[in-house]
Amino acid sequence: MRKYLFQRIIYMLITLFIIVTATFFLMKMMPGSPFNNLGGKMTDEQRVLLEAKYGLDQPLPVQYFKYMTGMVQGDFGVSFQYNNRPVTDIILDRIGPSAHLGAQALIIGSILGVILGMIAAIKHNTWIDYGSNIIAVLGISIPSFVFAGLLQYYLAVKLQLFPVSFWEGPIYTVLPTIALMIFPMAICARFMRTEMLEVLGSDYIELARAKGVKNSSIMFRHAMRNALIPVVTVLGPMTVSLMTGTLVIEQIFAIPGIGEQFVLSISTSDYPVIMGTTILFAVLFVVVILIVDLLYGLIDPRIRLQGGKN
Amino acid sequence: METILDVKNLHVTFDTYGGSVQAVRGVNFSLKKGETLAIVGESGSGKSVTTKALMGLVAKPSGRIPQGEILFNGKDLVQLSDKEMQKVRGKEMSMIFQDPMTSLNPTMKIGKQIMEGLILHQKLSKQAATKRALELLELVGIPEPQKRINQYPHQFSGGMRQRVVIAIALACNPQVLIADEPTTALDVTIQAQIIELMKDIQAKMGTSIIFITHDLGVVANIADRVAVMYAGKIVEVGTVDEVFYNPKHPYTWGLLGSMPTVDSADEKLVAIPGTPPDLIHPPKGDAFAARNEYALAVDFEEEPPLFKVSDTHYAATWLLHEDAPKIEPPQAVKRRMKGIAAEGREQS
Amino acid sequence: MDKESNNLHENKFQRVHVKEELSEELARPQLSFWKDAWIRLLKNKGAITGLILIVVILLLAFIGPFLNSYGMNDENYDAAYLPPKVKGLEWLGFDGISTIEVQGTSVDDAITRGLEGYEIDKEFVLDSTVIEEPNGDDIEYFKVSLDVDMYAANGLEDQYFWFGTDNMGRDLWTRIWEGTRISLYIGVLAAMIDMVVGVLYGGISGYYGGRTDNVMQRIIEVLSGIPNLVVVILMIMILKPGLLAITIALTITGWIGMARIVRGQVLKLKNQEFVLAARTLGANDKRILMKHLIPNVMSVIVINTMFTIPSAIFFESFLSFIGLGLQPPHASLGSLIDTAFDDYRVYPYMLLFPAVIISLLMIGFNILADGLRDALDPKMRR
Repeated sequence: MRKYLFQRIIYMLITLFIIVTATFFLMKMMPGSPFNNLGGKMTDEQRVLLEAKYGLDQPLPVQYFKYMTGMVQGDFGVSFQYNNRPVTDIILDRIGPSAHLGAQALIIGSILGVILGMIAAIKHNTWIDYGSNIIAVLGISIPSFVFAGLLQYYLAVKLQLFPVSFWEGPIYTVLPTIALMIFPMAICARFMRTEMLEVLGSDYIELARAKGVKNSSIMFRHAMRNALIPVVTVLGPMTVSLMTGTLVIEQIFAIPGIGEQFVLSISTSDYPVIMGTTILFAVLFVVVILIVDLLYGLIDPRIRLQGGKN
Repeated sequence: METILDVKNLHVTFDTYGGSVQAVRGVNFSLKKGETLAIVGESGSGKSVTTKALMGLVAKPSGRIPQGEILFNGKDLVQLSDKEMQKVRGKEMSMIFQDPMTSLNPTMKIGKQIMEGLILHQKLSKQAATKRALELLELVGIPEPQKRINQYPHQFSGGMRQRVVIAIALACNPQVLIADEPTTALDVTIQAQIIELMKDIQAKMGTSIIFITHDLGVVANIADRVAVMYAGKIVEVGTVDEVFYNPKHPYTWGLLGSMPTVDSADEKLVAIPGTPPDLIHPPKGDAFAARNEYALAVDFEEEPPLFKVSDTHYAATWLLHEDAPKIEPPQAVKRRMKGIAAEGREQS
Repeated sequence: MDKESNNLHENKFQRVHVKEELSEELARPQLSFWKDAWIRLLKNKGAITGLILIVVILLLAFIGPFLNSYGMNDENYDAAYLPPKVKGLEWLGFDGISTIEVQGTSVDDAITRGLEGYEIDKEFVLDSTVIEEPNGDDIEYFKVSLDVDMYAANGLEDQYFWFGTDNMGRDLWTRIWEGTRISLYIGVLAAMIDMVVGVLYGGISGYYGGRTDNVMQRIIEVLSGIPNLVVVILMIMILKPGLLAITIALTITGWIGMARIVRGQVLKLKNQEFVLAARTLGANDKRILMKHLIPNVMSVIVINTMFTIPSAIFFESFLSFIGLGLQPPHASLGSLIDTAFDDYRVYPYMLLFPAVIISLLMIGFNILADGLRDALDPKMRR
């Protein structure tokens, strides 16, 4: 187990290193200068001055080395747009709403998804099953920003049940959470249904029935645990969908989070912020994948006791 | 001996997209206290479905029992509600499955899986149930039960797992034990051990056993009586000696002829031609007629009734009708019958 | 009749010769794999619905723009923000009438201000209703909703913009179907590239095995650690946003899933007897790969490709939405939705049509892919 963990962490570090390096050099290849957007009335001398100030006139390897050493110490440089604010500060400032929204969507979405999938499997081939299947297909198919737009128009603008936008209290989180959780919920429901159906058709469930175990016990004590274990693996795609989702959902609902900042930075070519956010996303993703693998090993006795990958 | 289980005209049907599959089409048999009845037949003959029906495990809503009775100590199990049936299952009647590799819950400790039934049916406390589980593990021959009770199924070998499954089945001292091909998935040496274990347990506890198999050697070894199933019906039933030494149904001849024995190495095995019929549209007349070398014209028109050979021996074939030509089973089959019976005896 | 049954009775216990073929006939007819799968697919209502949705949308994407006389980029500022209007479908809301909400200190004031703001003559107001009155508490103004015949107000009574017009007076029907075609094009192209790269990579990796496989798998392991969101955004920023850039960006990590699946299948298949048999008969590597393995992994390839198309369509629209997609005057469903978001509270139809079409397209592809998986999955085959 320890060897496996060690190996995994090494891979993770290699991946991160490649991502950071690639991001850095790609950024340097970007067309246009970060200072083109500052009012547009900048003379060449001014630009040279600014570039010198941010160290952009130094040779690439030097810039790269400086960036890497700074990054290890938690310094991602300073923003070109916000009066030299450190990127780390900007991200820390904005991570709150994103984390809140993401966690809320992830937790509610996956719980609802698991319940939906379980009910669908138990009531296999009934209208409940079909209904939950339709919900899952819609959730997977409808792009989150389309869904967010429709929710905002009908529930906030038309019916005025919820605030249209901004981030000022629990009620403001309702619509963005629903918009963000619909995809995780749908994939969770689907996966859970498939797993549950497979488990319910397995020999050991039949043996439990032959023991005279009550239906409810069969569902919760025998089937659910076995069906839930593989569901952990959808956490990976779920994280990706949450990251993608935050970019558009925060934009639509004017939530001051990382996603909104990222889109803003893209439109203003604020490279240090883009890089910082990119690295944050990459770390988040890689760590989640690692956690999923470890978690899988922890909750499945078959893997736990063999001490390695299957 | 008193009859413990009496199955009358049992039908089981599964509704599928292609139509209704009549998996069991009017099965009759009875089981006496302490006896072992073997049900043999090829895959798809309805032997497993029959036992699932006995246990009330026919998957709803696609599967149903349109007619028939299963009288267990005089009460009809077909009429019981799900709740009432749960009290019968595992307590008075229990089951051993074919594949020990998949029939234990992979995420539940062995001990807990054995104790579940005890706590449920016998209302034992946790301590009492643990104690009984240890006894059971010992009974089925698992060494170091103290240690094993807290392990997961994947830490057991196939043979050991089957012993655990047997322990689970025996937990509440059931009156009837149904074993659905319990040795098919095991190595030959392990097979013999499991058979011995079952015989042992039957001697100790007086359980009646229904033993499903397609291995005639095993039948000769363990069973008192044999029922041969084909296409959802019992075509021949009798004591082991009657069925092995004096088989009447051509299908039984076919089964015996296709079984290799030790001293038959120089002989050719006789295969039964063709495949079993489609049970969505069962053929008219005798379902075996199309594959039967000795088919009579009437076989394609009318279903044969069960003809009585002796008080305990019946066979459903028109060959037993007084007007039918007298046909003897082929010589090869005759020799093999004896071989199989002898081998089975030697094993025990 | 009578004679016949008599005859039968006499011969009742006669032995009959059973032909070998008779018993063979009892087995169900064997269908080829693809024929069997096709029959199963046709039985799947969801999949057929999906197929029909896709075909209809595909047809409209190609012929839609030619069904009226407006061009993709015909700007006409007089016709800006016109609501949808279809001859004969007025009762369905396609009546060219906009509902505008206006505020003022009195009802008349509200109407006057509103009409001035929207530059509409009073005669074109068909109906007005007061929705809010001052209540001395939180509401201070009158709020009035006006139903206005926008076409008449702009002197365009004879025009019919079926899906309305945008801020520059361009016909949305034409733009939406052109955009649908672009979205489809990107989705299909990206899926095809993913398929080719993924099949080659996975096929080689799985087939040669050993060290080749090991190295190729390590590369995949590292690559798959990179969130594709990040890669796509970075690539788009470097390449100039456009059709090609988006397609390339989408395929940079997109092929990994396909490569993995194909490798798994090849590994499973290559040790099976029929490959061994082909090898014994002297077939070379290339022949075995092309003639034996690829046809056998075809079903997983088809299934996976069908799932890639909707996800590529989604990603393209997502990129357009965050401003990294196609640049004007080009349009895709995503960029149309993005534009619509600026004004959709006043002109909801601008969002509604592309939103519904992209959703239907995604639903169509997803349920068709699901159906294909069920139909092609050999595990389900009995």
